Amino acid sequence: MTGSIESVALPTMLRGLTLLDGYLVSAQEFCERRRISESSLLDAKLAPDMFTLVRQVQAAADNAMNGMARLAGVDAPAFADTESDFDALRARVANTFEFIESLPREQLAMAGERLIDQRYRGVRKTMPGTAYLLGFLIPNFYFHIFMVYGILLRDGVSLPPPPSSQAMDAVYARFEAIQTGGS
Amino acid sequence: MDLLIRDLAVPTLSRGLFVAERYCAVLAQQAIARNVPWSTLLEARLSDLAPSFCEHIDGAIDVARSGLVALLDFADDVPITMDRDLAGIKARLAQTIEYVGQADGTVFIDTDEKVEYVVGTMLPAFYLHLASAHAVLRSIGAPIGKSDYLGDLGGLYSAV
Repeated sequence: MTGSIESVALPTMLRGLTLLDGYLVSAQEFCERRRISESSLLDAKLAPDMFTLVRQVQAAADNAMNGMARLAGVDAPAFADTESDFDALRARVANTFEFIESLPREQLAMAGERLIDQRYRGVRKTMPGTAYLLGFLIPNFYFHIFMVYGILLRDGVSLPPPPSSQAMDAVYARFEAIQTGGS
Repeated sequence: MDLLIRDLAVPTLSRGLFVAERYCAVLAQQAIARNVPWSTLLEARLSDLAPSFCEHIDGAIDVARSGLVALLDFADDVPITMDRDLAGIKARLAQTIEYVGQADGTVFIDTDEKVEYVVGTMLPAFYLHLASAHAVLRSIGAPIGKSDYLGDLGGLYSAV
């Protein structure tokens, strides 16, 4: 299993989504503790022309879902982007987990050679799945997750410490469950 | 087709460090445009308790160097400047890019544990610092976009 595209792509997505869900829990608790409306954080952004926190979460989930679907050569479900509270955003993340965990393994096994047509701000490039994963999907996925981190940090939310080995044990337990067909 | 540890680590670190160099150049331009000392912008941060721009760039450098030491039986003997001014950070980045280049020429031994380390620790920590440096620059109004962070789409990975 060393270095297969599954062993890189799946734990990365599980890892990032776990981090993101932890940030959302911290943000929700912050609002409850301070007795402030969730919208004060949900609508926050780092710069006027950047995405709000809601849109950053949706973009991270879309990256995970659509990116993994493209690697597996299957269609991803579309979401209406109507989330307006932290519970709904956490449900979006949970749906993303569920989709990723349901991807057909035999399709993912061929992802490295699958050609991916990527368009980004007027640039179009066709690349193998490995280049897509490492050169676009992973950095873009983490970009949106860490913009959420940045918004919350700026607005005074105490966030979980950076990824611990204990957290990774949970990610790999989940990954192994996917590999063995467990829940 | 399997991904080798080198494929996972070297292009990511190289590209990210070049992005960090670009961010330092943007910061220098901002200092000139605003007529403020570089040191002021180097200490810019998202909140009082958050790391500064300078600390995020140094964080990315630390992850790159310590990550390669963890992956390789390869001494980290490329000298590193400790000066905390902009010239010092630029020198550290150049030295670290050189170190990554040296590592690229050595033998990586692929194990499941090393893949897990790269995927679970090294890459998220590296991107945390790089994206956070981006966030600090955006929060002070620097004219950069996500394409500065992403660079050439898949370019360094064309041989993977």
